[in-house]
Amino acid sequence: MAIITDLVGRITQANLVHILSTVFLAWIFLRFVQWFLPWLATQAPSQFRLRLLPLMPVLQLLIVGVAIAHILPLLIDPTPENILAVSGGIAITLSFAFQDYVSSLVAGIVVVYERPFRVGDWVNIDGAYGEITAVGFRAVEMVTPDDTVVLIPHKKLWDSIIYNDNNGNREHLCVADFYLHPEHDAEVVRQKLHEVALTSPYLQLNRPVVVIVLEKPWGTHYRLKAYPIDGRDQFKFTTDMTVRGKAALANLGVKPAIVPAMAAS
Amino acid sequence: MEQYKPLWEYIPSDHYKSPSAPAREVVRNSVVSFWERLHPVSGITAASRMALRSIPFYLLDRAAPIPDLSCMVAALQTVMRGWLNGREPEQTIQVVVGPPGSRVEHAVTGLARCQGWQLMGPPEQEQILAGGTAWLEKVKAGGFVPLIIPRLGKCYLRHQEGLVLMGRLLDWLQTTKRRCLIACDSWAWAYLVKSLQIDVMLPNPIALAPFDGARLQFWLPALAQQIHKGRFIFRETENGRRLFPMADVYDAAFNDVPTQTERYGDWVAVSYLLRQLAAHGRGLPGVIWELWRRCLQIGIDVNLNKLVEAQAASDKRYTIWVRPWAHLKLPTVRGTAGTDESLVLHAILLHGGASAQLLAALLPLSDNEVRRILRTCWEWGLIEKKHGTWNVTLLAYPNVRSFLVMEGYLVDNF
Repeated sequence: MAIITDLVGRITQANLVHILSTVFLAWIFLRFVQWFLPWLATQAPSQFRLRLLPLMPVLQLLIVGVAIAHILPLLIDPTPENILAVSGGIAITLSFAFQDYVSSLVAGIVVVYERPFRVGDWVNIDGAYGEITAVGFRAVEMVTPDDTVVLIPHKKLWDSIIYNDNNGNREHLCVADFYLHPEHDAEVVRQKLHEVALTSPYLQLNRPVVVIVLEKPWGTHYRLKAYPIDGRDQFKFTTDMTVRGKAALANLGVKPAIVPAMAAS
Repeated sequence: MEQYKPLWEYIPSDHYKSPSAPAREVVRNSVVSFWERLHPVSGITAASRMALRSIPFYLLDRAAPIPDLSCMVAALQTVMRGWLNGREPEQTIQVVVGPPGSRVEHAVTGLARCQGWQLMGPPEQEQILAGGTAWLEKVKAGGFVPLIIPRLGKCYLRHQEGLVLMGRLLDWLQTTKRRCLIACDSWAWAYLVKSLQIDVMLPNPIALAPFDGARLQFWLPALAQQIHKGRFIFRETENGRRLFPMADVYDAAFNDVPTQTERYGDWVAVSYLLRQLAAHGRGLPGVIWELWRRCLQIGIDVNLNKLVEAQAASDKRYTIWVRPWAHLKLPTVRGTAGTDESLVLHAILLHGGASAQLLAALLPLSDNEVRRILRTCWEWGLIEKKHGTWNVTLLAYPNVRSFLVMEGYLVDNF
């Protein structure tokens, strides 16, 4: 009680202006970071993109931390007892009023620390697949391949499986599937599909190209696996491999399987 | 006993090491290139490139004429001597790799003409796309006369049929007893190494040794002597110092052995500008030559008419001013360049130049998109069109290569 009385007593006009200006400055800095880093990432060479973007949540946390560290001494004497008492009071209040919000905030800090995904990563969380575009205090923002923005609260982190396709790297594996009639020379087709990947301009030539062949009751399933130079081009790359592959297989006279769609479903 | 070091020499390609830039220049260049990506210089267009040349072309062609190809042919002959004269050489195939502007195909063609060997030009693009069987049969049909393939990089396309044809050619080259000399563009070589492991099938290639600052110290004044002997004095704009103080001393050497450089045991101080020139040009004489021409200026008070008249007099010498490296405005890839621009530039380099139609056939872009991108790159000064084929300009080549490295594309080793 004495602390609260002391706190109210300390909020003078000068202190209030100081606190408000600190909050305003912190907000300005936060907005600046949210604008500047993505902009810089688009201007800088692509290989730096995935190094710049993950800095965003760290910088945001830093700005908020500095602002709190600046405001707190204006309100209370920063003795261990006072800080403990105030933080305890705030924690109890928030845990009742904003339980989910606080859970997300804490999970957000864990995300920054553990880095299960970074801005720029392609992830699948709870069935939502897309590129992480921002990591906020409460939620992570994702854009799906269909250009839909998905906001996922950080608290999902506690109990969801997260599939990260590229884990901070520029390249990630893409797969083009081909379903063929079983009567063909598999060695020739495998070689041809390998060449198909090599001719795609999106291909990262420093990573391996692999063709997986699976025999199914309805025919043969080929999986052409390769890495694009930039993970953002994954759909263009898969499309390009598919288009080139279909043309090459048509030239070879290999027929597609007719029933795989039904069999697969 | 050998008295002079060779100016032009061929070395194993894996020994090639690009000259390093002075440390100060590395920092400045990093900052400037990043700044230029953010704030591109708008003036470097095709039109302004012409306007910026403060030295008239006729004078430029005298101060820095096109390098004489005979030196390259002579150097190639020297390195090939054992292989050329041997009755049964250990390797029937020899490969020469040349980066852009190296004119390696011309050097090899020159050598073939000297020796009376059979030249085999590349197939037409349509032939490659149709399988290239007729062309391949022609290659195989020759007698025992050694065969020269001066443009291996033009015998493939980044297309399934292109790779198949190249695979068949390599199969034949591995089994033939016929002597073959092959010249290949360094970018095509890099791609064929990754896609077909050509480096395992053919012997380790040779390449022209890099031109470092010390070599430039002798080569550039030697160039100026090709047409007008000893008439030009090159001075740095910043301080008025002569750029080639040793040029007079080595006049005799140039006269006697024009393909040679400084004597063994001599110490030559290399100017800062030449080290920058060598480093930015990656030691490639063709690129350095373009950059060098770009550096040359004449004083604004020089009366050109008087200069022309005075050229008749044999004992007059004229000052050419060399602008500081930092003042040189070179074409750069803008920050707005995306994947499509990268794809087009990379495809042009991999194929040693390509037409708009070929690019549209090889890339997953429409004809209109290709034309738009080519137009944009041309406006940025990155590419030029000659005889219907688009090529990366030698002035822009170092920056385009750096851009592709940063974007993660496969590049050559030079």
